[in-house]
Amino acid sequence: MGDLTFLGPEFLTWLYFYIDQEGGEIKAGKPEARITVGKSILLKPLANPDMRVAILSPMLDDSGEVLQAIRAGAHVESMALDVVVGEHIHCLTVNGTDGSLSQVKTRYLFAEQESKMDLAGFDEPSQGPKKKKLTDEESVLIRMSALDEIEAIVDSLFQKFLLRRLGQSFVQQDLTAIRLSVAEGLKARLPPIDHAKRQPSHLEEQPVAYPA
Amino acid sequence: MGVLHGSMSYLRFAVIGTVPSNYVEQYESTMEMRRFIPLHPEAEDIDSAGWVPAQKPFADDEPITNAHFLFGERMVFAFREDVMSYPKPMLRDLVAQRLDQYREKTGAEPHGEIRHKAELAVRAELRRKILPRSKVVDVLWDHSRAELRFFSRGKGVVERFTKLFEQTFSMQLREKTFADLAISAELSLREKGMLEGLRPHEIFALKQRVEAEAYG
Repeated sequence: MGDLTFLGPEFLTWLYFYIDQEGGEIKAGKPEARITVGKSILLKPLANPDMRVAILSPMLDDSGEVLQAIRAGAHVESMALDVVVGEHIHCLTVNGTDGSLSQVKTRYLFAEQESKMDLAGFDEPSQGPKKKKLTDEESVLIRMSALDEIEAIVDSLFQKFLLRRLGQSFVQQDLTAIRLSVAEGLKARLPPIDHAKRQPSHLEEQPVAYPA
Repeated sequence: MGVLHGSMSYLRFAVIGTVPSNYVEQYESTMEMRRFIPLHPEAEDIDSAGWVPAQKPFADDEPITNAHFLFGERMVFAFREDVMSYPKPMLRDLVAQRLDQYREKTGAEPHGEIRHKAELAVRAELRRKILPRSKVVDVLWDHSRAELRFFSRGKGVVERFTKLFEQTFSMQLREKTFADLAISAELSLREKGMLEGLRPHEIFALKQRVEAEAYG
């Protein structure tokens, strides 16, 4: 078996555009999870890991930097995701090269669950009455079941990508759609041309004033 | 930050090998054998690594018992390593000071061996004043899934942890990257054949190469 480390960055690149093409949110896994791109992304060319583009912003691709980097030959090396499963909101970063998950945090959707969140030790305790602290065993159980949930979703998405990558659909559909998406995205971000303020080029024909 | 508190960053490993039926007693003793031993101020070694209880990583006298590491079918413990590091400019200045004292006392220029002895003496002095740099990384081993989570991503620490784990438990660890997930995925024979011949796909060619090719 050859070196397949490129599969991680290819998967994340595919996932970024898959989420984008589905309108910014996809559904995956059982129980069903809603997945959106988070606030950070790191891009690198597969052949030249010394070059890199890191973007940290709540509006990741407003400036078109992700598209520009992809257009210049980069793949997504790591990407933040927000994953909502039932009452849980998991924020995490998936790293393409080593398959690791980093900065994994879990919150709860509903206010009454917030107290559980503090108990679970997922976040700093909020101001207010002091809550009962969980035992180590309870903490391990809650936190590891959150990781199990996240890993199952990431693995199911990777499985979906892998089957497409091994078949014809990746080359025939996905790559074409990604290229089109990059081209259209970059075109949409070009500044509008104001014809009224446009200076005539020296190559354009100048009006000739003939003597009366 | 790891198993018990804070945000979590970790690598996934597949554990290759069979867990013995009496693993609780066996692992208790093997972990105790390779437990972390703190650096001694009078000794010369500059690093130390071993297992500690995840709940009390700095309680050096606390034995590692199953009450610490056993959580149902999961084992939670920590890998600790201490490194004695001396600030280089401080070491350089103190050695120079020693050598000046030697010159004043003997009137002779210190040769190689004297310089070496001066450095050793300064290191021994500093060792009593400076605390070692400690790193504690949580480990969660899920026996039911033969999987392990190591709550750090640093290349060096991962290598040292893997080596100690394999020595302690006589089992192999294999990092679960996306490449590994692909290899171990349930695929048809045709798909496995395709996977073997898989090459990276470029969405767009790397800009420099395009330019290089264009300019010959």
